[in-house]
Amino acid sequence: MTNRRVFIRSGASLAMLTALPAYATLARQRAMPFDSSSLVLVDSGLDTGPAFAAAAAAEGCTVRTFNRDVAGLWMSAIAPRLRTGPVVLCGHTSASTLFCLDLLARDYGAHTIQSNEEGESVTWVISSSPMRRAALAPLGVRTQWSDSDA
Amino acid sequence: MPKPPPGVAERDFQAALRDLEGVVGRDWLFSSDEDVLLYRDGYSPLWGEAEERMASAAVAPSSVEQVQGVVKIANQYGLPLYPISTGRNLTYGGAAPAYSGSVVVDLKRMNRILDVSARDKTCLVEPGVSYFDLYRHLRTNKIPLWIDTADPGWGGLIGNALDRGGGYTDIEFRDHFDAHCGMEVVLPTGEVVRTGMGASPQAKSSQLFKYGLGPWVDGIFSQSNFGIVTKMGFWLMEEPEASLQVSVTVPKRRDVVPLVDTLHSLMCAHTVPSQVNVVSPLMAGNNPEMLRLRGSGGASDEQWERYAASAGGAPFWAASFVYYGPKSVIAAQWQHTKDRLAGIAGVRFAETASYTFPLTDEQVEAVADKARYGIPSLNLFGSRTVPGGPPLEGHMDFSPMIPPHGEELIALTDYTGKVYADQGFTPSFVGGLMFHPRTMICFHAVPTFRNATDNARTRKLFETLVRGCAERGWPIYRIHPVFQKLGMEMFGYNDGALHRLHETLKDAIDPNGIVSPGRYDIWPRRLRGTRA
Repeated sequence: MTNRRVFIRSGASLAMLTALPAYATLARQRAMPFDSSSLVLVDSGLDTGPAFAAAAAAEGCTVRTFNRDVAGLWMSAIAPRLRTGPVVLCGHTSASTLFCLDLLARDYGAHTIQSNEEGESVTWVISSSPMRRAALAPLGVRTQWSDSDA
Repeated sequence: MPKPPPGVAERDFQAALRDLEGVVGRDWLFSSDEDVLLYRDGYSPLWGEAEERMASAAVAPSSVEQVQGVVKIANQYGLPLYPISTGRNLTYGGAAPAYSGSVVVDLKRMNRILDVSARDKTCLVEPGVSYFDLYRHLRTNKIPLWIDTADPGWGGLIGNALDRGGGYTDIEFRDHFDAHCGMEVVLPTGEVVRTGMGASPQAKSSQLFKYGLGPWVDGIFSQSNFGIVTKMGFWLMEEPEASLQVSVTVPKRRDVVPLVDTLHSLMCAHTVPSQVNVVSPLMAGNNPEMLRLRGSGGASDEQWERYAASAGGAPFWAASFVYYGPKSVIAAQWQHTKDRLAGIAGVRFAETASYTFPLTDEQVEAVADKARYGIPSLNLFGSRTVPGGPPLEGHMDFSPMIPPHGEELIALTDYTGKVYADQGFTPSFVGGLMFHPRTMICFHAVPTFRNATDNARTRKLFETLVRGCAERGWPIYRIHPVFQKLGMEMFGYNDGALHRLHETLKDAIDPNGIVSPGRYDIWPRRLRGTRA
């Protein structure tokens, strides 16, 4: 159930997300603002999930929710998005979900660049990187980044 | 930069990498430290130690011809290769090679679904096809067939089948190796062979009849290192009209004997079609008294009944399974099951979920036990935390196999409970899973860590379990590469005759010993002295 305390915590998590140094750097360099082109994944089964999702949507983000099991969303939305090229994914999930997504995303040259755990939830950023090559990475991943990128 | 494989000079290794790049292209050869770390076993029981199994490089071919090119170069330079399908087998070693210094052959780019026949209920796939991929293909194209998925469902069909993994749906499909029909293999010499009816070039039954003509060789490519499988056919389950998921609970410890006997009989008669889980709700968790009883290794039935009474009457055992088919048939099967089990005093029956197919996307999301319905899931990772304890850093599966007899399940859990306790570990969950038609597997989670001190304890626990269970008639059916030598020693009848046969085959099929040296303790002649 959402209450004021949960709402504030989720708002704080969202603010933290946008302030993450790694994300801010990427957004500046790659012209990928925290907006409708960003994909934010939220576990609605977490206490803070619904409020976080609402806050992200209010910021203009594309928010996709799931309840505990991210597999369906991986198949329908995340993997297809990763196949198209460089990507920044943000999320508010359980640690076990982040573990799975990080491992799956590595096949596409992406990995977790920052995360912050709080209680049962973790807020994180997964990004493609030119420093990481992987078996399924689109060719474009390696050519669009400068050496100074994370 | 990663070091070259043992026995390969640095200049030869660099030349080999250049040649590999010539075959697959610069973007698909991975030789930097950061690239190679992608193939590290995150659950390694040797994490950070000198003996940890590490790759020297990786290469990702996209075709059979490129695989042949890689194999040719490996033969030229004596380069050990380690093919992986998707490399997600985390509790059995993941993407890390069995022999340190091997070049991982990452087959994920070979991810084509070559054929699906709704009429014949078959498919033909490449090694990079995951359960996710095939499931999505079937759903998107509204093909009324189910996959039988491993759990978690992020792995590859071919990789899981070749390591003889299992699933959850009908008996014809959940032994994944048994459900395959025909394969194509690049042999270590570079020659391509097709097995079964696929060896007859115009055969229309390549994915319909397993054996072809002459010796059936498919088995030697499972849990082995005799080639690189580049295609595999599978039989798929027709989507049923409906399903009914049920549970049966029994109150007393010894009730598991008639419970398992009856369910196994019903399984053999195809009355109960799905995989059957038999778990003990009473022996789950961290209750100190329960752990004391488990750790004693020999608590009597009376002692357990007293504990059960103190635990508010929770059932001692719970079995869960699923019926698939027309509703009228399901109803008759369930009624017959209840009639057969009614003689167990205190037995309780419950219907936990029922569906009519096909499901909408919203219904799919709401399914709790997805693997039983051919839906790949990652939900299992939510259960990796010990209740009340810190998150697990990783674990290995210890997988002893027992006859489908309740008394064996009791004896095994008594034994392993004491072993865990004696070595300072909390015992793993208790249950027998009937993946295969004539056995139960009693999976135990053995934790792994990111420090050498705790991993040394873990390795000792694992070794004790492997030896002790084999001595009692419960050898493992699958094992982590770090322990494959030990595992195969448990299959040493006639002074290791089976092992000698494996090595004879290896010498004939892989004379330069380049494919997965050491996998399941099968070493090429040139490395037999070291067995590193």
